[in-house]
Amino acid sequence: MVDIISAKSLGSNDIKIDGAVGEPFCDDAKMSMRNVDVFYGDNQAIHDVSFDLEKNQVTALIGPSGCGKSTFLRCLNRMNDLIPICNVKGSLQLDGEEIYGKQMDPVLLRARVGMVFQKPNPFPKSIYENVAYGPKIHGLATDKSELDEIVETSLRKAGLFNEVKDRLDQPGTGLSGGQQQRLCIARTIAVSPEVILMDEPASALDPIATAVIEELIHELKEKYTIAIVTHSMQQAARVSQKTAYFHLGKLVEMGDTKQIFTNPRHELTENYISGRFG
Amino acid sequence: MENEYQPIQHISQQFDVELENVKSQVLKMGALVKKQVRDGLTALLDGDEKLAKKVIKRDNKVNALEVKIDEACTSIIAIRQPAATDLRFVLSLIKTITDFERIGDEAEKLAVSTRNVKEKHISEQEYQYLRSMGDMVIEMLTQTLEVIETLNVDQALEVIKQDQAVNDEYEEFLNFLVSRMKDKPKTIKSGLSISWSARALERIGDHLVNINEYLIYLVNGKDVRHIDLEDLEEILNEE
Repeated sequence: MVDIISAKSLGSNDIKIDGAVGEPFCDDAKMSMRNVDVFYGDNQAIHDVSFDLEKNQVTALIGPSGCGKSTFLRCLNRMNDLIPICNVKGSLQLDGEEIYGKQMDPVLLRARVGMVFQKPNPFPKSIYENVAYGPKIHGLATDKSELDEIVETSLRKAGLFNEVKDRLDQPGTGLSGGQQQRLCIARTIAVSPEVILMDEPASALDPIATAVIEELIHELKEKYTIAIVTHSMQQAARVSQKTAYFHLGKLVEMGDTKQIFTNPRHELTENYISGRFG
Repeated sequence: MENEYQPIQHISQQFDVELENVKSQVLKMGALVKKQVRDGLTALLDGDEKLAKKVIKRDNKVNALEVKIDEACTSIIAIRQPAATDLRFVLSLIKTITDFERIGDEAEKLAVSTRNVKEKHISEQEYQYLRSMGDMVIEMLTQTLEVIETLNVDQALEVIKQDQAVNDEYEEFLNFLVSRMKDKPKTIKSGLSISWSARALERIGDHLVNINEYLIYLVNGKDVRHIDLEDLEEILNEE
């Protein structure tokens, strides 16, 4: 009986990872990462990872527990800055701008590169305030009516407006799990980000709420560039156009999702997505 | 890419069992189809009407197996959502059984022609041509069953190459029949009848080519349908 697919149970000792295979780079990159290493103290969590996030596409980062996909995702808007022992090396660029450069203000960066987490985490405020908070602190609205418009548009884009329009003054925490997650997505959208990072956005939701979020992701890619970390391979297959497979902190393979799920080039990718172990 | 695919186990052992069951059902269907072709040919060549009837009756079993395997594959797709090699495995076998079923139909045609050909008395040369084509396709069928078992791309390529010899023999036989029909118009009726049996054997070769193409796709993910032999060898030699 095997409890969980962990990186070590996939026969990694026998199979070599000699640089990423597939097509990790593209002509129309929104974010470009090159030779990225991430350390937690002396422990190296990410090894020499290079790839592009293509503009207006959904890129899924998949891999077994502990493979570094969430760590990597959190580097993309400097969430790892909050961990003192975390050290990021290499080049990470947003539209050609170094996100770890001295010029880059992490607060502004996080407005441009928003994040949705595994568990819905609305602020203990009203539904309205949850969405209005970001635009307020970033000074995106000049008056109340402009703010109202941002809140409504964001809730509409997150597919939530019709469900909550009559109770905008009620607490966000009173919504169902799926609604709370869509509220968090609305909150992310409200500051007009360019990239949205999603870390297991549907893993705490039931299948219907999951399907709603997945449909939303599909619609959001028209305006935003999206990177999603997911443990559900079927979800990765359903929502993404590009898939990157991580294993023990290395990028093993990246390519079109269709290719990865029908004809992966690397044996480790094959073993992982088809639920095998060596 | 390896030329032979040896899958390692899934985390879900039940999934392994389901895939293995489908494969053994396909091999069972293939073995039955081979028996049908052999008996259909024997019935035709020996004028054995009793055997011909058996072949015609047994085609139902071939059809039933096709339905059963289709159901098993549909269930795997719905429940397991197979990916990568597993997906290609299921797709290739679904297509393989369609061609097996059609080979079964061709074997039935041989059996159906038995009485007709018997009445016309088959000549020694006709017998030799049909025997030779029949032996070739039965050998291709035997090897195809081995390829399903071993998933060896080199052997699949060998089977595909063998079809050329079947096609050449068919063309030669047709030329022989046409020139004889020209010389002896009385033989037109029997000549046409026998040409249909030759055509059935030639079609069996084509179906076996299809199956081996699916099996190559299963192993290395390359779609090698609708390309000539030279290009096929070149594609397989890439990497």
